[in-house]
Amino acid sequence: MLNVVPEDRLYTKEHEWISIDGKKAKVGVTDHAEEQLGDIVYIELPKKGGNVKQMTPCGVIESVKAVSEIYAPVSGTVIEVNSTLNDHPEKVNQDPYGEGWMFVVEMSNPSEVSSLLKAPDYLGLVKA
Amino acid sequence: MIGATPSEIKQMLSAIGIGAIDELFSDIPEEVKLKKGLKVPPAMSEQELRRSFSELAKKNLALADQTSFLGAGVYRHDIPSAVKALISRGEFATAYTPYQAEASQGTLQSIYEFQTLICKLVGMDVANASHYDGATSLAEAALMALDITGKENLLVSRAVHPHYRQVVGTYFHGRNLPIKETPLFEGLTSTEEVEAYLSKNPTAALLVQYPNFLGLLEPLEALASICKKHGTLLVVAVVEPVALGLLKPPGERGASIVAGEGQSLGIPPSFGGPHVGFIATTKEYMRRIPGRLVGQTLDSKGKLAYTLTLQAREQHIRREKATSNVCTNQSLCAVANAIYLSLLGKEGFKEVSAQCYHKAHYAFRQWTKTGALKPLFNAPFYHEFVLRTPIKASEFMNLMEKEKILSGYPLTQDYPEFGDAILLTVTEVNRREEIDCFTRKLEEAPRLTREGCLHG
Amino acid sequence: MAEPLLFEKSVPGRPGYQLPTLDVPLEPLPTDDLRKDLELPELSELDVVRHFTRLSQLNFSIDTHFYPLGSCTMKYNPKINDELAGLPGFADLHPFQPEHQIQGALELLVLLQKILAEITGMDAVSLQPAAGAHGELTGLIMIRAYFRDRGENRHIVLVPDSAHGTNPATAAMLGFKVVQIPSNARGGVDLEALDAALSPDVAALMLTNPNTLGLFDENTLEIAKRVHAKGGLLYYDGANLNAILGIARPGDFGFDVVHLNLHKTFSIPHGGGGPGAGPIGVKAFLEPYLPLPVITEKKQEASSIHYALDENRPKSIGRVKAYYGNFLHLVRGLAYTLAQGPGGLRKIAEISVLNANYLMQALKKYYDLPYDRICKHEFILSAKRQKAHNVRALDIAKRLLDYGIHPPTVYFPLIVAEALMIEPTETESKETLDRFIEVMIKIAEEAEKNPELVQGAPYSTPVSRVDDVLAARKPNVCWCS
Repeated sequence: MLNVVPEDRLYTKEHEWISIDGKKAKVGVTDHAEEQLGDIVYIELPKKGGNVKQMTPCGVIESVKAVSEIYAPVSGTVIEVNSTLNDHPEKVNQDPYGEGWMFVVEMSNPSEVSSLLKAPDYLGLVKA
Repeated sequence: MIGATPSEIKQMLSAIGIGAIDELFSDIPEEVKLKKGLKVPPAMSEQELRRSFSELAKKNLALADQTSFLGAGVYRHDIPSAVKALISRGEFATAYTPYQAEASQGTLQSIYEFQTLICKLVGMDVANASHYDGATSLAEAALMALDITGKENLLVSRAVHPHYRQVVGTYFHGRNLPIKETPLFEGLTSTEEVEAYLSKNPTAALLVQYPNFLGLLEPLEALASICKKHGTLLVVAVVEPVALGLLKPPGERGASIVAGEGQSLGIPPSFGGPHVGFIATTKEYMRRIPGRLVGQTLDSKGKLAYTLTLQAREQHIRREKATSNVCTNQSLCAVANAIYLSLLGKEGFKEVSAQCYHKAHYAFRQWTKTGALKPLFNAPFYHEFVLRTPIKASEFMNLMEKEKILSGYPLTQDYPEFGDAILLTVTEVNRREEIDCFTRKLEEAPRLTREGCLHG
Repeated sequence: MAEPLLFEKSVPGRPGYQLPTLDVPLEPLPTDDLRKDLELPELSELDVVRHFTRLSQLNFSIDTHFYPLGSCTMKYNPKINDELAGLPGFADLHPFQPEHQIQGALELLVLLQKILAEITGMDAVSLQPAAGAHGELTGLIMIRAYFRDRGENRHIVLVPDSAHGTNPATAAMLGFKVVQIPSNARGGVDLEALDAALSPDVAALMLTNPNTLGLFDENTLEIAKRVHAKGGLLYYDGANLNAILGIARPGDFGFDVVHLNLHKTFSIPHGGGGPGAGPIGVKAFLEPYLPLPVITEKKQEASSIHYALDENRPKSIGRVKAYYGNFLHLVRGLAYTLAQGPGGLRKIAEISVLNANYLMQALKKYYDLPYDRICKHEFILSAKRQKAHNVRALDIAKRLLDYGIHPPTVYFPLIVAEALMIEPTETESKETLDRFIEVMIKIAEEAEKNPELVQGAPYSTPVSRVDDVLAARKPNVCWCS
C-alpha cells in the first residue's frame, strides 16, 4: 500500500496533518489513518467558533469497525468547518489531503508547530 | 446432553494423542483441582424435574387463581396465544446475536420492526433494540443525557417508580453526581419546584414517568417547556406503554428521550423478569443511544437486507470509550413485543387501552362511593389510582387477601407521606364481576364473608 | 423472496385480535391528553403468524445448525427448561405479591443460589443481574463500595489485552481508569507487566480463566497472590466456566467476585441476543454489599422454613434492576443444573474440552495455530496463511454459511490477527465435528485455489454479503411510511 505523505505539510503522532497559511492552519487526517479505519461512515467535527487545544481530542471519526478521536494539532479558534463531510464522509477516504480536509484553526500560539513532525519523520513513524 | 459415545471418546483421545481425558486438565494446578464431585443434588430425569418443579410452582399462588388489582409497574394483560407459539420457535429462541447478518435476517428484521413499532408508539424517530428492563433503560437514558449536555446533575421526580429511582441511583454510585428528587404537589411533579431548581442548577435531565407511579398524568408540555428554557433534557419513563393506545405519546409532547418497559406488550408478569426495556429518542441523538441498533441496508446484489449498525459505539469495538457496557439486549422479549403489537394492531391496541381506562374509572367510582376507601388526588389518571384505607394499609390488604383479593400495592414504605394508602390497578382482564365483588366487600367491610371474588 | 415489513402488509380494516365487549359504562376521556393518530399495522392472526414464521426460517440457530461461536457456548437448550419456566405458578406471578404467596419462587431462588455458590466456590450469590455485563457492573460497584468503606480511593482497574470488550467498558462506565496488561507468549497474563501495573491505586484485576484464547492461565494462583498482596481484588468473568465445571472452582483460585453467564454455561436460550442472566458470587467479606433485595432463608418457630426478601442491608449497593432478576431464566438455569448432578457437570467440562482439542489437532495442519498447546473448551486459529491469498477470516466465516455451519467468532480477541475462535461445546456429536473439519479443510483449499469464490461468499443464504458501510453512513433504523 502506497503511503502518501505530502512534503508540503506537517504531521502529528495521532495521524493528523496540518497545512499552514499565515496564522491559519488547515487540518485533516492522513492517508494512513483512513486506510486503517476503513470506510468512514461518520465524522463529528469541532464547532465553528469553538476553541481547541493542542493534542486534545476535538472530534470523532467513525468507520464500521472503529471509532477514533481527532486531535487538534495546534491550539486556537475554529474558523471554518468542512460541512460537506456530514453527507459525504467518504471524501476522507477518497481524498484525505484535498477534499477530505476537516477544519481550519486560527492559531493562538504558532510556535506550537515546532513540536510537529515533518513528512519524512511521519513516514518513518508509520513505516515502523 | 453429551454428544459423544464412549467409543467415540476413545477415538478422539487417540486422535489428539493422549491416553485419558484428565490429561487435558494437566495445566490446572493440582492444589485447586476438585478431588470429589460438587456437593449438588443428584442428577434428575425429566420426569423427576417435572414433579419437583410442579411442587415448587404449587407453593406459589398464581394471579389467575385470585382477583388481582395489583400493578405498580408490572401489568396483567391478556396475551394472544400466537405470541408464545411464535417466540417458542427454536429458530428465534436458540439463535445468537445477529452479528453475522446473512445468517440472521429473521432476528434482524423482527427487531427492526420492533424498533419501528416503538417509535410509532412513543412518537420518536429512533429506538434501540432493547435493554434489560425499564429501570436500567432509565438509568442508561440518564447517562445519555449527561453525555449529550455535558452537565453533571440529575433531577428525578418522586413519582417515578421507586425501583427505577433506586436503580438510577446505583448506576451513578460513587460518581459524585448530585441526584435531586423533586417533591410532588398533589401527586404530580411540582412544576414550581422544577423551575426553581433548574433556574439555579445546570442540570442534564429531568426524569419523570408517564403515567406516573401513582397513576396520574404528568403535565408533560409544561415540564418540557421549563426544561427547554434551562437547557435540560426531558427524559420520560413509560412503564405502562398500553396507556399510549389512548394517550398522546411523550415524543409529541417535548420529551427528548423516552425510556420504557415493554412487559405489558405480550410478556407475562414472570415474577419480575425477564422483561424488556427500550430507549427512544430524536434523530439528533441517534449516535448517542446505547445498545444495539438494527438498520436497513442492501446486500451485494442490491437486495434489501438488515444488519446491526453503528456498532462502532458498542463495547465490543469501542471498549472503554463505548456508549455503554451493554452486550445482551432482551431480543426475544422485544420480538414478543413486536408480535403482540402486530396481533392487536391499531384497533385492537386502542381497544385494550380504552378498556383499561374505562374499567379503572368504573372501579374508582364504585369503590369510592362506598366511603370505605377515599381518593387522595384529583388529577386525571389512566388505569391506576391511590386510595386511602380505613385501617392500617397492611391490615386492610390482609383482610382482602382472605377474600382472595389482591388489593393493589401498599404505599406506606415508599410514600410514607400519604399515610395508609394503596395503589390499585385495573386492566382489561378484570371483569366487572370482580370489580363489583370488591365493591360489595367494601360495603360489607364490618361483616366480611369468607367467599372469594372469583365465584361471587 | 424477501419478506415485506409488517407495515407494508397492513390493510386498513383487516380484523385482528378481538376483545370481549366492554362490560362497564364509558367514562369521559381526558381530552387534553388524547392521542390523535396511532400508526400500528392492521393484520390478521394468519398474516402475523405467517410473517414471523417465515422470518424465523431465515435464521441460523442451534436447533437448526452447528454454531461453534467461541466465547458464546452455543450448547443445546433443553426444551424441558422452557416447559418448566412456563408453569403458571412461575410465569403468572407478580413480584409484589405478599411473601407467603411466593414461597415456592423464593425457595427456588435460594436453592439456585446455594448450588451456584458450590459450583463457583464462593460464599454468597446474588441472582439479580440481567446479563454478564450487568453482573460485571454489579461486581465492580460492590468492589468500589468495599474500598470506599475502608477509606481507600482505588480508581484503576486492570484488564488483560485479551479481555472481552465488556470488561473495560464496564470499568470505564463506572469512572475507573482502565489499564491494559499484555499477554505473554503462552497466552497468559504477563507477570512482569502485572507487577509494574500493580499499585495501591488498583481496585481490581478482571480476568477470565480459561481466557479468551481458550487457554488456562497456569499462573492463576501466583496472579491472585500478587494482586492481593497489593490490596487489590480479583474479578472473574465467568464466560468460560464451561471448561472447568466440576473440575475446579474460581473461588479456590483466589477470585473475590465471580459472574456467571446463565445463557452460556447453563443452557439458557440466547434468544437472538437476549435476555440473559448474570448472577454474581462473592466471598464472605463482600456479602454485605450485595444488591437488593437479598433472598434469605429464615426458620420460623417450629414450622417449615420461611423464605424472605431482605431489604434491610445498610451496606448494600442498592438495586441494580427492578424486582428480582430474570426469574424465568433462573428457573431454566436451576432445572438444567439439577438435570446434570455432580457427574453431569463434570462431564460437561470434560467433553467440551475434548471436543475442542479434537478439532484443534485436526485443523492445525491447515490453519495457523498461534498457541500450540492443550486448549480448553475453545481455541483460536488464525487465517494468516489464507490472507496470503487475500482471503481473510471474514471471508472464511461467510463461506461456512454456504456449508450450513454458523461461523466461529471472528476478529476476537484483538491480540490475534485474523482470529477464528472455535467452541464446539459438549452437546455436539463426533459426526458433526468431523463434518466441520471436512468443511474447514475444503475452505482452506478453496482459499488457495479459488480465492474469489471465498471472497464473494455467502451464496446460498437468504441475503448475500450485506453493505455495513451503507448501513452506517445512512442509518435507517425506523421505517417511515
